[in-house]
Amino acid sequence: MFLENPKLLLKSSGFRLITWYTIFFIITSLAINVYAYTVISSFIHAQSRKEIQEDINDLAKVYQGGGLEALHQDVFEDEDESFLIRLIGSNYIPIISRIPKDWSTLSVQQLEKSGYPKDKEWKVLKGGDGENEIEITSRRMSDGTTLQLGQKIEEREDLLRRIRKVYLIAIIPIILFAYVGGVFIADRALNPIRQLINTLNSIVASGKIDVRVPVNRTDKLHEELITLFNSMLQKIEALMNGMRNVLDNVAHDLRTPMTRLRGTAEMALHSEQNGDVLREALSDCIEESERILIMLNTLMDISEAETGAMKLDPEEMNVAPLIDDIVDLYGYTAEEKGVSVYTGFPEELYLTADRNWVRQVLANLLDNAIKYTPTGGRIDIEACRREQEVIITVKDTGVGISQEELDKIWERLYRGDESRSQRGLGLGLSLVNAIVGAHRGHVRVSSEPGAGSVFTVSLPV
Amino acid sequence: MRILVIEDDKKIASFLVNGLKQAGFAVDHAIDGEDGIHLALNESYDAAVIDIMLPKLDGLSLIEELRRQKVNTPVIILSAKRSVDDRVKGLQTGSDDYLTKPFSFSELIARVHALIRRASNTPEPTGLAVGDMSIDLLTREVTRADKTIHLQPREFALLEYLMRNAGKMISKTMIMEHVYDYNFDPQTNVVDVLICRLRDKIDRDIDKKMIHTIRGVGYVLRES
Repeated sequence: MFLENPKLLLKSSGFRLITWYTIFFIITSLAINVYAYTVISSFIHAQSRKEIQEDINDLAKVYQGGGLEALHQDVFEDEDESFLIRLIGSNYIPIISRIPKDWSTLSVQQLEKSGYPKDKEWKVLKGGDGENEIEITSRRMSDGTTLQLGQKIEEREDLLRRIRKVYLIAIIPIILFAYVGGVFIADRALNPIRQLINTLNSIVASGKIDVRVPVNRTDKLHEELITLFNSMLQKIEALMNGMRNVLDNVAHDLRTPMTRLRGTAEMALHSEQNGDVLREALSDCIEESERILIMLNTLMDISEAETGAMKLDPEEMNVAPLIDDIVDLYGYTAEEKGVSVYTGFPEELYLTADRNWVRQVLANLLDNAIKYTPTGGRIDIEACRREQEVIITVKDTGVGISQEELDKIWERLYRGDESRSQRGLGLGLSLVNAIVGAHRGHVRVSSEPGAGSVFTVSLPV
Repeated sequence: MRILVIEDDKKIASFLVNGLKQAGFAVDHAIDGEDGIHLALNESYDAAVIDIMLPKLDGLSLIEELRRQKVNTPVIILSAKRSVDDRVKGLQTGSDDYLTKPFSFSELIARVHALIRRASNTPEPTGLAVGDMSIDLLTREVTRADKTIHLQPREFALLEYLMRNAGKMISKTMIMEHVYDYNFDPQTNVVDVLICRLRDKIDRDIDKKMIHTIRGVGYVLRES
């Protein structure tokens, strides 16, 4: 699914991110607005009630101090018409009543219907036109009468209405802001993934693996993801190039012996010779195919070791008896050639490596040394432990290697002038180099033409 | 001697069957695993040559099934992979051997003979004789035409191996395995040198040479 339609997936996940962000942002801002409005409106309510309370307390003082007359005077002296003031007797009959002009009779009935006012009770009544709301509170006087004071709350409600309106209008920019923010955040979050997908797509489409995703340094997590992805690409690329090189090299290196094989067979087929000559040609073919097989195997080993695909079976082992074995194996070969082999190493030299491959390294080096050392010469194999490495040196008194050839001896199928007369494929030292490399060690050579060569192998313990 | 060959490649199968017949064996051939196991379970064979990659039932499962059913016919496994599978190693009981493709046919014959001999449990001889040459396995004495020949240990080991397989082709790999106990290819002429030394000691000054080189294949020791 991921690869089938990555764009759609990206779109939907981006869309989800934006939606969630917007919803969250709107809910949060609304909650803050509602809370702010509640605080403001309750403050305004409390403030206006406080005013009414103060007024009614003043009036009560006037009534209690000066009686009905003082109250009457106080009430009707005031020109301000926005107050409703009543003094009601215990029998419900108003003793004093001042009602604003726009307070219709219907409203008075409403007031009277609402029952006898209790002490300190608050009531909100609508005016006759349904608009002029009045908030009323009452005070029970000590003589049993009740004083009522009402105030128009039109202005207060008007203010609150305006505030509500401002808040409602504010929602539109909030939604817009939330959406834009969501888009921005989603874009930032998904951009590295989008780049990753684009890179993947280009790799899938073109088959070229040398592209890299640009690293975005602003986000630690994304940076890590992309860096990891890039290093994975790099590894794959190295492996693929390695494999391609292996194939190229093997194909190239096998062409020559294959041509020889074919040539021999073809010549035999077209000749009109007797059985013995044909038999000879067939033997040549078998020998040649044997050589091709050895070559193929060795080339595969070298390539596998070089590309890191070699199957190593490391174990802790003593390398000393291994050297003894190899010297023993080549005992007769050296004897026939008239070359003496001397060894010098401690009885125990432990390291962790693949036994068979280390044996192969030693065999190839000793084989080489015997091959290029003339009769009467000597070969010294020494080994020792130095810090975290085991150092094995193979020193001969052979023909040596010229300065120009020193670098080339590790190349596949390179055969120096001196070695052309010798049997061999030109793969022995390449294999040594590759195997030692696969063990994270290294091999060096120093040589003096005419005097001999020293090969030094260092393998980590 | 009866051999069962289980191999699906027609060309390889035909040269296996014809070659084994020429070498004096009676040969049955199966072209897939199911056919093969049926034959192996119902007939009696002295040895079997089994390819690993087989249709229907692969070679290794086939051998495992045979062993489960207590059929202990010695088996030579043919494998196209060079690095030996761990499971093949696991199968290496005394009655199994393996060869990797491409292989030398002479080597296959030699290995079949060796397997059958090992499986037959013939009593260990104390001496061997071929033509006018005889060796004593206890005293390690070698004589040819009544003359004593002194051999060094490796030379003696090679001669013993060649005489035990007198008349049969022995490859360089087999010599590496049996005389040096090495399972790797040293890419050297170590074996050539050893053969050369042995030849020098037993065949020099005598007209009837006993050690013969078969080019590209190996060596054979025979009376003439």
